[in-house]
Amino acid sequence: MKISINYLKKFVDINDLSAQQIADAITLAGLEVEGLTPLAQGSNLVIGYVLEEKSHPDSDHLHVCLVDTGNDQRQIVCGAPNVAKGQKVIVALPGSELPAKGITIQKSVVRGQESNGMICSLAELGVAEDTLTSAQKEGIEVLAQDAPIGHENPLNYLGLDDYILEFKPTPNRGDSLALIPLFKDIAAILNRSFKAPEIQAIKGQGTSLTVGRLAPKSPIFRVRKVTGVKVIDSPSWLKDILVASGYRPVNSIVDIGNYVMLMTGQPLHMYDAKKLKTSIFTVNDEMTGEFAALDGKKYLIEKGDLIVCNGDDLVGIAGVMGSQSTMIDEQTTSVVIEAALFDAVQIRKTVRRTQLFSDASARFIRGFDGTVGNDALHLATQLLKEIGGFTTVEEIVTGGTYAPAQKVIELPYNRLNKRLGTAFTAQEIQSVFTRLSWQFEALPQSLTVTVPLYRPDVTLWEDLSEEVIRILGFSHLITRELPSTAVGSLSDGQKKRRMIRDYLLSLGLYETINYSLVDANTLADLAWSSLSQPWELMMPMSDDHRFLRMSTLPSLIERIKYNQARQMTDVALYEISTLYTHKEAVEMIGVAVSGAFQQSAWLGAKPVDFYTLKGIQEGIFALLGIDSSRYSYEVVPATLTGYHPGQSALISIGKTKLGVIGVVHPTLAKRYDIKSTVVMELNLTELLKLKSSKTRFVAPPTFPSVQRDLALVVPLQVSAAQLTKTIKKAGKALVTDVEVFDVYRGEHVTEGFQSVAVTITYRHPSKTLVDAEVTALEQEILRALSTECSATLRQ
Amino acid sequence: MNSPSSASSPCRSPVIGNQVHREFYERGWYRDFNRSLLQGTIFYFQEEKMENYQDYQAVALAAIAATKTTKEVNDLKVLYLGKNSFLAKEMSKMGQLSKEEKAVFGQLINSVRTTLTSALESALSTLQAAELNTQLQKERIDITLPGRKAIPGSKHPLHIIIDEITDLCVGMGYQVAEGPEVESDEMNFEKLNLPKDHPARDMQDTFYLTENELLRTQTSPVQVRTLIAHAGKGPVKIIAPGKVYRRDNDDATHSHQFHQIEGLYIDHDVSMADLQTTLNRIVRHMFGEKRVTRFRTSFFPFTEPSVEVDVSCHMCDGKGCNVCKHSGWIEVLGAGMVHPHVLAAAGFDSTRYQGFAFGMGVERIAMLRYGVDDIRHFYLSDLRFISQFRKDR
Repeated sequence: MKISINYLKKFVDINDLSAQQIADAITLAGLEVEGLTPLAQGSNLVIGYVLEEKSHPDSDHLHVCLVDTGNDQRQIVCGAPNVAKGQKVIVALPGSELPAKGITIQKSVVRGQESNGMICSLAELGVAEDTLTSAQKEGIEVLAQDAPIGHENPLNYLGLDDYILEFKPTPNRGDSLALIPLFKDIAAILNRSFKAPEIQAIKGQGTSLTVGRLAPKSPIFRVRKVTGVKVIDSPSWLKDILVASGYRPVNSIVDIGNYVMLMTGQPLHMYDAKKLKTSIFTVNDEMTGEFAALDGKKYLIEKGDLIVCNGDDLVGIAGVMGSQSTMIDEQTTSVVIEAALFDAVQIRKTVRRTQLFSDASARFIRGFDGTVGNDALHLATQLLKEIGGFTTVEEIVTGGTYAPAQKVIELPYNRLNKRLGTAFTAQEIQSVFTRLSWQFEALPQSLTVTVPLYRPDVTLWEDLSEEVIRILGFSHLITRELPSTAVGSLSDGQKKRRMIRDYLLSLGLYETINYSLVDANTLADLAWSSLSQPWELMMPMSDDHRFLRMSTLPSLIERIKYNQARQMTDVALYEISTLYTHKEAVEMIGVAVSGAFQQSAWLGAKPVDFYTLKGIQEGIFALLGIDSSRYSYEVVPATLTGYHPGQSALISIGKTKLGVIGVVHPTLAKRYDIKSTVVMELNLTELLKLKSSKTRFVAPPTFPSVQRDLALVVPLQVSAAQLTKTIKKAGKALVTDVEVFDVYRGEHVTEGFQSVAVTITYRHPSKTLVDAEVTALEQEILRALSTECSATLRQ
Repeated sequence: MNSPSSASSPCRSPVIGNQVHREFYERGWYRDFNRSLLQGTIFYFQEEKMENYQDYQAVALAAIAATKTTKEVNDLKVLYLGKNSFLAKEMSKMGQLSKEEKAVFGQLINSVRTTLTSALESALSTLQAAELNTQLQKERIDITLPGRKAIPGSKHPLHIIIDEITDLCVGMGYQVAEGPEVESDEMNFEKLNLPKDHPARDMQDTFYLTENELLRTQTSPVQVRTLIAHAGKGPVKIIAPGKVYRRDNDDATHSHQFHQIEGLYIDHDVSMADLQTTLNRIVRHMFGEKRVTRFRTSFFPFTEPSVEVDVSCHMCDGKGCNVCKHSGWIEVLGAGMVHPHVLAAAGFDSTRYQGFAFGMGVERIAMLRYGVDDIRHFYLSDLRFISQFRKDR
């Protein structure tokens, strides 16, 4: 919303305030100023009179002029095509600064001719180009013949010494879209008096119009016919106000409609009366078909849309746009003016569907005082009379009723102060409503406030509390030390999540946050979990962001691709995010590592492998107190095609899949254009559900352990886990640890077998083991290994 | 059997031997230790030739002093003190001596052995130190080569902000609440005083999944869920950080996915002034102690009164610069007193309970604090970007 400070001054006594002071004050009070722009700028200007004009001897487009500037006569070289003898013009004297063009005028010599200033166009003074006619854009501004020569403030003379204040109206303040209630509010904020414009009721003679059936969402519909009007150019005062508020002047009839809406908030629609086939207006909500609007386009209308009809003709989408067939043109001589009220929700629906945004519809959507319709019609009539005149005016015809009751709210002083944290006195609180010109009645402990109809957003005493604090100011808040009895803390899960993050960060992984919305193509990549049935947006903005992802891994390898495409080959990323499907919400820890991880090239860096991430997984599980005996690994099934079939594992406890670790399948890696990459995704939601035992002290063992190595030859299909399990079982409780320290395939080992060397630690809890006991146990272990794992001692 | 020697000082000490060499001694013969040693037989020499021969100990000490390697020392040890050394042989003859002679002779031999042993040890340790030093010099490395990598990763800047504010608020007695990103229309809008067709819904265009389910447009539904969980009984004091989604085209300042931190404090007498105290603390923590805040009346359907909160520009101290668009102020968050409709919809008696809520955009705060010029940086995971925040963990 844009307003002219000069126009504001006509209604509010603020001559002593700068535009900036006004802007600052109303910003704090809820009208957020987004721009304060001078309408025109220039120093050292004067109104001059062109005494003589002749062509420049050495140029075919320059003119040499003699200009009377009041105190003297000066020669000025001017390049404008329209300069002519006898014109009143704006002269920028030497020393003049024109910020719009970034220039300072100096005495100069132009192709041998002295030039003592510049004759200005409005564009050179910074007037917005879109408000200028093409003649004004191309040439100097020619003033009226009665312009006073030597006047030292031509901007003031032209009404251009103004600031345009632009603010962002909040959705609740529909009243701020109408200048009368807006100026009243600004007067209250600035604590100045407000002079309301006078609107005289103009009586009409009889009427030829009738208002018939109105749809329920059109409570009141008023029309008035005025004949013998003239379509002319609007006077400059009207154009200036419209331009300041961002409207392009069209002609007197259209401009009056816009002006009345701007002042009162009531949108008017003007029909060319001669183009109306009947005198009966109705508003329907059950029509369908095509509507030819006055913008020259056709719109499909649906049931529910409010349509203004004249007889059988569709003459307007109510509150949105009129028909082409009844629009005002240069030949219009009589008009029907409509001032109606339509349902905000319905208008909003229609506008959103047709994408027909207009100032009128914006006002219907935000709401305005629906009782101002008659005033609006009278103001329009009054202006039609002043501008161009008319021959006859009919009486206003009204269909339907609209008589809302004014809300009366009781505002308790103590609750107000308690809510705000203030100590306002009854007088201070009353002063707010005096300033706002709202009616109130003072009771001993409270105030009974009658809310004006232009503020439908105010319905509770809490709403009034906002009026009080915005008018009196936030400096009245009384700060105190906060009573802090509550003890804040992170939940157990939140603490564990942080612990895991700290661990991953310390290892050297980089934390990422990726988009939850992904495209269909990557949705199933690297899927492994129970997540299925992804959410799909009803109205996606693009295919790239259509589905909610079911894994963090495609996002992570996408990010690896991004980095590797930029010469960063070693990439180690993780993300902890919650994923949502139709059935469940699961928080995942995703890790993806490519290239070398924590290795220095000169020390012979090796690329990451399965075991790099398995080590990290073991670390996370250890942090969470999940003992390795509780979970197991299995080779990924062939259906998980995104993973290397020989170097990938699913981790589970019982039937619950906890996660995946795997080398990205070379085919998929190629598709993503990434180097060999290992990924891991762990279901944190499930991990946090697992109980971990309470930490309790256990005395360190008193008796020494014995370590013995065994080199075994084992069939390839026997896993280290099987060997370990067999050894532990055979060694009963005396084997405390089994560690694989070498795995070898190749020369000297039979095809289909590998050599696995293990260190077994034996310990008795209550005595020192002797050699013979260990040897005996070792024999038992070897027997078990032989029968259960087909493992033999390596010769 | 006497033989000349090239060395200088002869043995002046009285040499007492067994019967045999006493006889020699009495005849003016002295033992030639050096020669004896070299040839494994005892040689004697006569007094007149004494200056040509050396004393055993002196010869040995000279030899020890001349050693250059530990091996030489060890060889000398065998030579002078070993089983076959002259000294050992002399010792073996002790048995033949009289008691008095034993005492004198034993003392003499021991003295020689102790002296030589200590000289050998000292020579050995000196040479060992020298040899170790030589060895260490050979093992010298280039200390300017990089270490075995152990560089920590970097926390995401958005999480840096979230964690900082979380820690601050936990210190002020807040709990951290979480809520789903897939929300119902009811929680995201209706219970926040935004009925269907409310004009304010235009402000935050929504990604709908079904008629009634959507990606939350704000963290405020966590307020509602928390209040409902408290079943009408205060106090409620939570913050809720998380992801939110809006139908915005991604550009330098807009992202269809971003983060918010919601705060809610409900009790019997929590006021707007308390809101100001709280926000001042948060804002100063994030942007520096010298910052001042300014409340501006605004509108949110779920608060009344509603305010936008500006902070004095941390770049120019409020003087005006490009960051604050020459206003001296930067808008950082929205807040207000929780609307009675919101309390009522969540089962709280708004005549007994009141309090404030605030919500801030994490990306915005991170951009302001670190001077990040494009919101898309947060979602690219460019290592050259993320690694800049390593020390802000």
